[in-house]
Amino acid sequence: MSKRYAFLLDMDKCIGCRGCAMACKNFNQLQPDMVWRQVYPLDESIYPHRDRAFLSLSCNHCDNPACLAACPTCSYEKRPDGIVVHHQETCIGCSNCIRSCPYGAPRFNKAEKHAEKCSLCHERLDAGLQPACVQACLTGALQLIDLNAPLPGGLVQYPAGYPNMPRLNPSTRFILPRAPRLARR
Amino acid sequence: MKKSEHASGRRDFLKGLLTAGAAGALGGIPGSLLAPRRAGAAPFDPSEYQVFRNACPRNCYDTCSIKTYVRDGVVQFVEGAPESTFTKGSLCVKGYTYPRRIYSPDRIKYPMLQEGRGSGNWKRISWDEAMGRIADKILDIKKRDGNLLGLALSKYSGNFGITNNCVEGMMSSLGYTSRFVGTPCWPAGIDAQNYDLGDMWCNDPEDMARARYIIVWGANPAWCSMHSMKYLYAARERGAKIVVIDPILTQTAAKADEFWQIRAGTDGALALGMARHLLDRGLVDQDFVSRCAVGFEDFAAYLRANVTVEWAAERCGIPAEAIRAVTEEFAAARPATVWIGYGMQRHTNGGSMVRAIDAFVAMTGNIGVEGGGVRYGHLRTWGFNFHAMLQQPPEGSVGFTGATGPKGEFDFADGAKPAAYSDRPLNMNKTAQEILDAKDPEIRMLWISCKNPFAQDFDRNKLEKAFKKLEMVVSVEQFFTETVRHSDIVLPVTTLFEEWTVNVSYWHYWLSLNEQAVKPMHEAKSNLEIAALLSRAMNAREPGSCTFPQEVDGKEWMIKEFNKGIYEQFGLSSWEDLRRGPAKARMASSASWHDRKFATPSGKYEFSSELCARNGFKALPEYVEGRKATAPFRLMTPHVQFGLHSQFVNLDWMEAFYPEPFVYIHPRAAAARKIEDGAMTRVSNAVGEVVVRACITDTVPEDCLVMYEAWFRKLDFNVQNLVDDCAADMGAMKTGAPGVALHDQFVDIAPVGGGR
Amino acid sequence: MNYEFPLVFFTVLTQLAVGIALAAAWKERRADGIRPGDNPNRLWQGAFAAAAAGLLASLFHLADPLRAFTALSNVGHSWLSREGLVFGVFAVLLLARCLVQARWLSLLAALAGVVGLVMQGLTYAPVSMPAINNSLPFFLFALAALILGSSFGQEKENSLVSLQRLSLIALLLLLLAVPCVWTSGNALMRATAAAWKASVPFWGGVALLALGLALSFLRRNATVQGLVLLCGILLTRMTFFGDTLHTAGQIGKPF
Repeated sequence: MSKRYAFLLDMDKCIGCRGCAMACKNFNQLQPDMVWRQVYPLDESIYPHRDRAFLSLSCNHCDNPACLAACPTCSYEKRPDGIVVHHQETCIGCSNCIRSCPYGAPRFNKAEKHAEKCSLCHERLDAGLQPACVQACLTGALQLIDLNAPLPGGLVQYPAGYPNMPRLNPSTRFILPRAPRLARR
Repeated sequence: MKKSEHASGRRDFLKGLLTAGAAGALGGIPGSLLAPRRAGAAPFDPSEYQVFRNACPRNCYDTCSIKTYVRDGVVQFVEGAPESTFTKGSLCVKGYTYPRRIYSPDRIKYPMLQEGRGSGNWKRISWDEAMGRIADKILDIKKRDGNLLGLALSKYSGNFGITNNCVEGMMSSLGYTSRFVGTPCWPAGIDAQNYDLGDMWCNDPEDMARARYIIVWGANPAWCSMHSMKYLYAARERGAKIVVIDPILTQTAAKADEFWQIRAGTDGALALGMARHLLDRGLVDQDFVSRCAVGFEDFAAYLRANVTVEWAAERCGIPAEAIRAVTEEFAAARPATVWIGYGMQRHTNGGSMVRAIDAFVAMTGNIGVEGGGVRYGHLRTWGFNFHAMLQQPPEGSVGFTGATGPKGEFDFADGAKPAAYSDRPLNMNKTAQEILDAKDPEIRMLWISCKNPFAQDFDRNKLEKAFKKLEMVVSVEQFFTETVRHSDIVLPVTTLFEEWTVNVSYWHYWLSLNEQAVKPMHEAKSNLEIAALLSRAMNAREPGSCTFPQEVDGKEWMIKEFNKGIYEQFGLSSWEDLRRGPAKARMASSASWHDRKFATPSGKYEFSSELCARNGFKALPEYVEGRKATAPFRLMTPHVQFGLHSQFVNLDWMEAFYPEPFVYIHPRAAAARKIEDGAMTRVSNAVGEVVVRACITDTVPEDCLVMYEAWFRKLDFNVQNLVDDCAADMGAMKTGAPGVALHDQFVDIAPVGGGR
Repeated sequence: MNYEFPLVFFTVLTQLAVGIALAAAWKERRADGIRPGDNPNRLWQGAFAAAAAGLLASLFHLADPLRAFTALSNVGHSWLSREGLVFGVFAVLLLARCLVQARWLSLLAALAGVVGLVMQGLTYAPVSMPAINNSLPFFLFALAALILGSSFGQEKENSLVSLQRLSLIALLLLLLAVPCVWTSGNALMRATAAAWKASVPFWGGVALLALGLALSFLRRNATVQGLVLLCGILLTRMTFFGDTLHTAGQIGKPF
């Protein structure tokens, strides 16, 4: 069976440093205002302390990608290993993918006038390397996994604060964060 | 935008394919007319790049080893060196912005002269003209005063590359000058550890993974030493418990098993309470305190007479039962370790608090133990030649004859000085006051390099006044900072990718080479080249007025820093071995003081230090009351993960993640002041005021406000508008000046414009 | 606020065209439907002009309008491609009908317009916007087409006035009811309801639609009334595109 690549975010280890997102800008040479990965703090109603637990998200490389279905120019492609690739060179900048993706993965590049998004660094994967963001994660919170291989227990597909979209079947998996016992005044 | 013009080869490749694809589509089957053929990207090929070794020279625990990928003479991207087990292939969010820093459109491109300080009326000048003006001024000062003590150097931690000590060397090569000595960073703790242990020397941070119990005390590694987090996690995966003690529920605290929100400045009381509980429960390591230590009985007597757990609980706000439980767990675990952060000692009683924590850990016998120890920092890998730093003054130079001490924690030159004259020491932590007070001669000229005084020095308004006294200010910088705004001449300096040097850490034990990866952008020059240029200008005007070599080669000067000791310590046959990757010091043990031979006068751990008493403090690590509050809120201004002091936050790449600062305030405090989340507020005290948006969060205590220090290029935000220059207790012994109590600051807050 | 003006004009103008085409085809349903003085070709010309203007407006939504034709590539999956294709065919049929008077062409054009409305209803109901990820867009668009068709698809006397009133009342009720329904939905629907209720164009649009309804009873100048309704629909459409919340803006918050 072929691979199905996916991100695993261990929110219990994630420190919200944004190193993953900056490493992505660094390797993929994004425009100064562009990001392909964003780190979203969890609301206090989800994690009890403000700005202390995070969802680090880029593209979820969905099983049934909304972007791919929405794109009128066939600029999205799903590789057999699950990676959803956007081809900037055929994009006409209609933004329909941006409207359609519930996760905000495709974003509009104003300077070059097209949509773009996380490629899961497939050029790196094809060379036997980890995606830039995964390599950058210094706590081991962000990992690359194969959904078609045996997975560790305790993984969550739809943590609170993350759009629940069973029709799309996003590939990213999560481990939920814990909060410390507190002694405070 | 330079960077994008040199867009990656991958993109060029894509474009080529696209053209070919479009041509193919037109001539191909009709269906492909609607769906232009797509390019397929080739796998990433590292062999298409030249790879250089670099090191992050910022004032940071982690001092990362960098691999830099260059093509067409342009840095394409950077990554962490995988050879270092500490860096382990990952940089931090700051490190990944480096390609942008080199090619930032905001960089200072050539020497410039500001006609009217603060006017913004900058004009481009040549290097010759810049150095000529500077040399003329230096000679003028010498003529007027008969010495160069009117020329002062303000330099600290902007770039810790060893060859950047050529700036000090350049000053020495001119004669005897005034130097801002000390450090705002960690001096009270350095002295404290010197009193207790004889030196500041921490275990290898990588051995924290072996600890069975970790107390992170006033440190926030999740933001300030991110690479250390993996060792905390590894320890926890092996069953260790992690306790974080901090006034703020930091990101590290959120990752702990247990978090104690201590009242700021009462850490000493807490440590003493824990020590007392060790005594009460008979949990003291008798072997250590009797065989390896002196003064324990005096300390035990002090504890019995003056300290109880309830007393400590009352002061620090942590319940007595929690103190007892953690104390017992800590004593039962072996090895157990405490990491003392630098924030914890930035108090008027900071040094005494560090001593109390040292004593607590010593009582459990965890000092000199692998995976244990009381960790603060070390300078054990800094045994370079300091060739660049140690330059001789010209014949017949006249200087300062008063008392002097070390010029900072990195002053490795003491003892080798001629006796007749010295440089004049001025307290870095009172920069503004020292400029205002200096007499005979007054400070006439200030040279600033590797430092941003207007972002880092205390009491900004006073500094503004002090700068008005200066006849000439020269800044060596990369960006138009607030300090540059207050300068007459700015000289563009290279980034780490444009110069040769070598770097070590004050935390881990790795040594990294820093190769020149690309040609300097614009007209930027390294500090070393600037020193040589100044020497040329000086000697052209007055031969013999400057001893600094007039021709320099950065690579040669880097090589000159190496010596046999370094090669042996790191197991190198030559510096060139470092081109294959960073090297780690070879150590008999990962534990500091593993043979329990301490560097104190007694050779033992000193619960009671005569040296400390001689320097005007208590011999025992007794409780010392903190600074009295002068306003309703304590203000803390620690580091944010997006910046290092005033660096990084100004880059547009960083603005994508950290566009704006906040004052963090507790929900109840905000409600009492009628401050809404996101509302503009005015935070003020006797020093000055800051107008900033509020962020309401229970991560800060109700009686505390928090602002993270940073320089935003588009904002007039500066925490030093609120921080005075009140001294910490210790630091003068090893760094030349006491530290600064920058977390003992008090302010009030009010909504601005109706709070919205 | 990004109101996506190209999409506002594209959808409203194409709906105007569909409405006129439907009205014209309705009048032609019997050979005697065309009364003296009527000029059915003028209606078809109007419909074509509206459709062409709408399609032109849609180009402004693209970063690269010169390659707009490639947007028809993904007819297999993309509702946007299908919408583009159908409205393209619709415009061609309208043009053909302007040139050739044939009832089958009229019927075909009207049918293409209705199919286009369905496609449009599906295109602008993305999964990422829970509040409108349903049949609401279709009903909003269909009612807009009926209202505009009954306003601009009539000559001389207002033969479609009851249809106009009926569809106006339906649209007003729908616009007022929908935010109330959302308030019992998930967090994003509630937030969308709040955003719509706080939207100036929304209330301006509703007011203009109500004014249009009142004018229909006064039987004054039909052109003025039609323009009032057109503006009302444009304003509410701005809210539709600009104030409907996207899940991506709420990540990290409860849904």
